[in-house]
Amino acid sequence: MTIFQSILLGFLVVCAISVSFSRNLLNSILIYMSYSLIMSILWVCLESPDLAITEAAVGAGVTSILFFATLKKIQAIRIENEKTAETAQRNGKAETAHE
Amino acid sequence: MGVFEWLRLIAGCLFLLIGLVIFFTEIFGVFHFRYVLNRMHATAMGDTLGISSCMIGLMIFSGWNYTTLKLLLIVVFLWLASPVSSHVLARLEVATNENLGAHCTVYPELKTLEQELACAKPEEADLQQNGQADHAFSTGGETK
Amino acid sequence: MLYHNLYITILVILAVMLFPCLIRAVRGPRIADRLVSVNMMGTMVMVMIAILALMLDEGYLVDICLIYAMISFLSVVVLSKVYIGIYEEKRHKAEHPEDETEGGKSDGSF
Repeated sequence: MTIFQSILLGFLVVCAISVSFSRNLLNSILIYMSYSLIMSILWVCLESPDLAITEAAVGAGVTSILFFATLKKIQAIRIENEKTAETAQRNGKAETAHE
Repeated sequence: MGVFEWLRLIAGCLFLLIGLVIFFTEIFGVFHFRYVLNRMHATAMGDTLGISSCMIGLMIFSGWNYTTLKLLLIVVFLWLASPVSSHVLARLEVATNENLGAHCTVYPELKTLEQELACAKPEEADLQQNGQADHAFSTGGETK
Repeated sequence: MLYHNLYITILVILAVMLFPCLIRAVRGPRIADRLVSVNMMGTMVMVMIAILALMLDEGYLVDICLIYAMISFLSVVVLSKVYIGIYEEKRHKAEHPEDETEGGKSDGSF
């Protein structure tokens, strides 16, 4: 049981780091969803179903969609080709639009 | 541990093993394919078959009570919901990907697809080799 | 006791299988890749919660699995719908820059 929980905790750490290091805001929202996904398993391991349900409902459901809506409102979502175009200009080499 | 108990154990383990094998192929498929539309084949397989075989194994383990009914409800809901989510994802990919034509044939109108399929009936052979992912995707809705 | 060990091994295998899904989510070039991998992670989490529910032999934990099925389906659909809306609106703005004045028609929808 401890092996399983330690793997999940390792997964949480990797999720948290990759959320902060992802350039695209949209990408961090989706990784945040997987973070709360794993958190709800840990709540189930600790035998507390109410916390697991709220974590599942809030984390994957409400918060992510609200983040998405705010991003939409402040027009901060750069769609794919704008992003690659910017990175191409920023580091100056002729990167192909889609690998 | 009577014979019935052993039988139940073996059957449950078999189904769970099948589920795990399907999840393995799903992960291999997601990493093997290069385009999103192909990857969705793999995840759809995991969504429908993988989870239902795992759930059948767990139903066998949990015996005859309300938990089994809930597990059955999950499988039924997922069989209804996962095609819809795959469809919406496919629309998302078609909407956001400009050079979709690079790896699958895009038909702007449905009519051209039907004509091609109608005339493609006799010479079925050449349709097979003319492209890696032969996705005939008709984006009739988004021709703004 | 035998069931306990069996459940633990399957849970560990599933937990190890979650990592490639996360790697695909982080590395996926397109938005659809990321949604596909989050959806895949959801189904694996569902199997894990069901196994945990049987291992701790409490029936009410399976409800979480049911709720998770609905939520992962709902979030995939809503996220992709909203993203399609954003993309269409941006493409619309890129193609017809002249009607910038009335500030884009998408504010009313979401």
